[in-house]
Amino acid sequence: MKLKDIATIAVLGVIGFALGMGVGMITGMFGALSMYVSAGFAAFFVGPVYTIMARKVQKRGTAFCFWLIYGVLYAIMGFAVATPLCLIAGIVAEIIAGDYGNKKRVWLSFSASMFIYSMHMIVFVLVLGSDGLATFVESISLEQAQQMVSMYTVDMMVICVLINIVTELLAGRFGMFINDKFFEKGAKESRLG
Amino acid sequence: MGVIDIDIRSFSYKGEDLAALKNVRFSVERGELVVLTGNSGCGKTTLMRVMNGLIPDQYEGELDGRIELLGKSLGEFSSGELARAIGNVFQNPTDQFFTRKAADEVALVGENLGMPREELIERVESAFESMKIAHLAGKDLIGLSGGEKQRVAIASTLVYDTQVIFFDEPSASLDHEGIEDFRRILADLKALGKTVVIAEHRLYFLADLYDRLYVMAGGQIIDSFAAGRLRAEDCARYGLRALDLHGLNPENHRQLGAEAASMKGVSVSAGGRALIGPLTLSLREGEVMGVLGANGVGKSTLARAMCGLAGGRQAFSWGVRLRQRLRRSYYMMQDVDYQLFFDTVENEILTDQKNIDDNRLNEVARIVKAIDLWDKRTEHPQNLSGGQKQRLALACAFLSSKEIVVLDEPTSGLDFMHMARIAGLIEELAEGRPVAVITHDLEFLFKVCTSALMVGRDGCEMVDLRARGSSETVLRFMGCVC
Amino acid sequence: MGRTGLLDGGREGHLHPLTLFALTLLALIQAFLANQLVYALVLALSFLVLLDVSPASFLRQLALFAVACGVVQLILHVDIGYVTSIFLGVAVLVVRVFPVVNVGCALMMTSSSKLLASMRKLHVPNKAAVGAVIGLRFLDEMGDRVKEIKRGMRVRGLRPSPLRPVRAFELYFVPLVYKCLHVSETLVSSVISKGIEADCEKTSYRSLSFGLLDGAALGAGVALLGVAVWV
Repeated sequence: MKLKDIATIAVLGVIGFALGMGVGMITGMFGALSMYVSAGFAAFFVGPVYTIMARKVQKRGTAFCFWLIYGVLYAIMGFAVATPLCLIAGIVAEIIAGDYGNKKRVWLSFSASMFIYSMHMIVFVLVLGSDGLATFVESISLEQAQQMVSMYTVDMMVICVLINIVTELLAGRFGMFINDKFFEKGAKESRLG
Repeated sequence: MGVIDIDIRSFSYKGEDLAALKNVRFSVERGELVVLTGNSGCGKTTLMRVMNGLIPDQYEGELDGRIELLGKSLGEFSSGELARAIGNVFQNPTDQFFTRKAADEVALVGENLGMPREELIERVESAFESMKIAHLAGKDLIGLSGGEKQRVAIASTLVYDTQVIFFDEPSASLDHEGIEDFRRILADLKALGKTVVIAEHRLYFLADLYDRLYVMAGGQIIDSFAAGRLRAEDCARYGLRALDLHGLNPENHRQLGAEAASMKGVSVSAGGRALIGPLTLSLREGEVMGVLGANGVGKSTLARAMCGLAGGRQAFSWGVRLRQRLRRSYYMMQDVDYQLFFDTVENEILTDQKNIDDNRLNEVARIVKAIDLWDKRTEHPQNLSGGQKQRLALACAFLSSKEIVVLDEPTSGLDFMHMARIAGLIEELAEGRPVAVITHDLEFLFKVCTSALMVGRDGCEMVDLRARGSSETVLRFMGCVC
Repeated sequence: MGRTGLLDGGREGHLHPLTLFALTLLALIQAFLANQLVYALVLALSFLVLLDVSPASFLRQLALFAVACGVVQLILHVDIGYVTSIFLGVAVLVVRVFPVVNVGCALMMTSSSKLLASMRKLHVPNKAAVGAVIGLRFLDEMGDRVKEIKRGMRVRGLRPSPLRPVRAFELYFVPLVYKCLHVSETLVSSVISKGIEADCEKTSYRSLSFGLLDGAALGAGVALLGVAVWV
């Protein structure tokens, strides 16, 4: 990978992270609802950034670097527990994206990796439990963690998974739409004749 | 054998069918100052990228040919080694800086190439002294003027005492004073024995400096001139910028209509520092007022106040309040990248309106052809070249129904043909409304403006360019006449 | 003692970038562990670090902190039902992470050269280090770019509306991404032509040794962390 590619990934990775965090904080204010849609909604903002980056760089390792930036920035923000999941998302994205030449694979690589990432709360609740959550996630107190674990019932988790599958697929498609409309060279019809 | 020997049979960018360079052959001797000129898209920048090694390393493509620097093929230089032999000053000084402080930026090349710290400190200091900018060493780059930034960029090429320095359109971001300053720097570099290659549209400041001037078109060198051999007729033949500003005279002598706009006692300030004012003037229908003055004197701040982006409540006839002025005026920003939003060139002008009638479509088609973007009408505006974007932003101004239009440096970096085309469009734009144009480009000013507001540090003066002797007044103000 | 560079001893903070990085992490951990007294001490330390780098930023952050505290007090006295606790939570979180933001600001204001040299000392791969510095620079400038885009929209008479979210997104997003890509391309060309990819031992123009202040700041940070964990 050339320095130009690394710089493109770094710049777009930072923009993607800033947008994702900003949107995530806003949706976080909607209380319980945010548990279902928070990551899914932010994906509509991150999707275009990811797609543009993947199509622009088109080199092996692009998606992994993007998720690596996510993981590192999360770690710096005191949410290091999300970092391994970001890395797994990066590996999956990398496998699906192939050589980045096929747009559908790029779309799916985003949707799949974002889905994995969006499952972070469910994974933490299942793996860590309330005590583990309060220990590893610095922004959550034990009381909040217990409250959170009690909210993640099986029904709720199924709904969450289903909603996220749909939203991540749509967000990936939206990313492709923005990329095709503004960033991809291609024949467009003229209104002027 | 020259310092640079070029023999390029062809080069095309990755994914492009058309060759960007064809049959380019020339040599540059030690200590020569070589100018590459020609219309936008003629291949100047591509040729510079080939010479400084960015092609094919950073900009991928198919290169068939050989480029030798100091007797060695470019491909034989190891990674980063070229920095010892070549210095580069890119077009936009702000974007090319990696660090925040001037001294850090100048030292960067030495750090990268492992120059021992003691020596680096000495070389940085002497580079600042050579450029006479020792006082800028600790300053933040962001606060420097265009000319100062350019000096910092040049200083960084002196750390390694590089033999060759490339400049890509160095005058684009400079005011007249800055260009004069730059001319003196070039003379100094020549005196130091440096080999200098410059890609540039504006030629007047290079007229008595170049050793060889190559005219390019369609990716080829179509003519070359030895020192002092380029004549005004050659410039006219190849559509090049003027060689001498002293022969310029106002060309727009149109009759102006009734008073269309005025300002009374307007003053502007930035960061608590008073810049312009109080200023009282009126503008008439058809009037194209050029706004002249050194960088940092407050021209853009005045433009923003005129268009309701700054300045609070002021006595402008088209709106005392900001919101009124914003609604009734159009402002073309200096950096037009920030005002292009749509997916194609034509949609940028049509915006997202639905059900547009045929008359409107025909009018838009005419304008798109006039700005020479018909072939690019379905391309994305942000993918256009700098000059093309400026033309597009101007077309948007043209088709707006605003009462007054303010353009902030619409011709910086434009070749003669496109500058003349823009001048024609502005003249048409001014029919029925006044236009104010901030510019450092005297060729453009004399071509289209009917009046000039000369903004100095001690006050403002308005000149009617249709009056006899006005060109001397303007040239004197710009420092072209002693 | 060798010669000093034109920037050594200038006002850009006396702390080593690695010290600032370590302090950011320490502040982060403390923000969620510490009791009131330790929090206050960490906060004071973070303000001192910022004052060392930039008095102007120190004053701005101080004013912002006062506003954030004011908002918390206001919410405590106004009950607007269910959402009160959400807003209160957000406001308290903002106040709580203030030390992190302060040290983070100081780190972001550190010269790119110093950051790059520090990362080189940590043996971070060259391309990754350059990428990280470029990324940080863009993060720093993003606000200004969005402001310019807003200005561009206003002069074009374009108004983003929540009723047309896709269009609103496009209006902000497209010029922002294009601008960042263009600037990054020029910047990369520029640093490559300055030999950033040269395969040799790099040097540093700035003096990058750890000083007494680094020791004092790190000592204070670690001590406060110890107290926070112990308490």
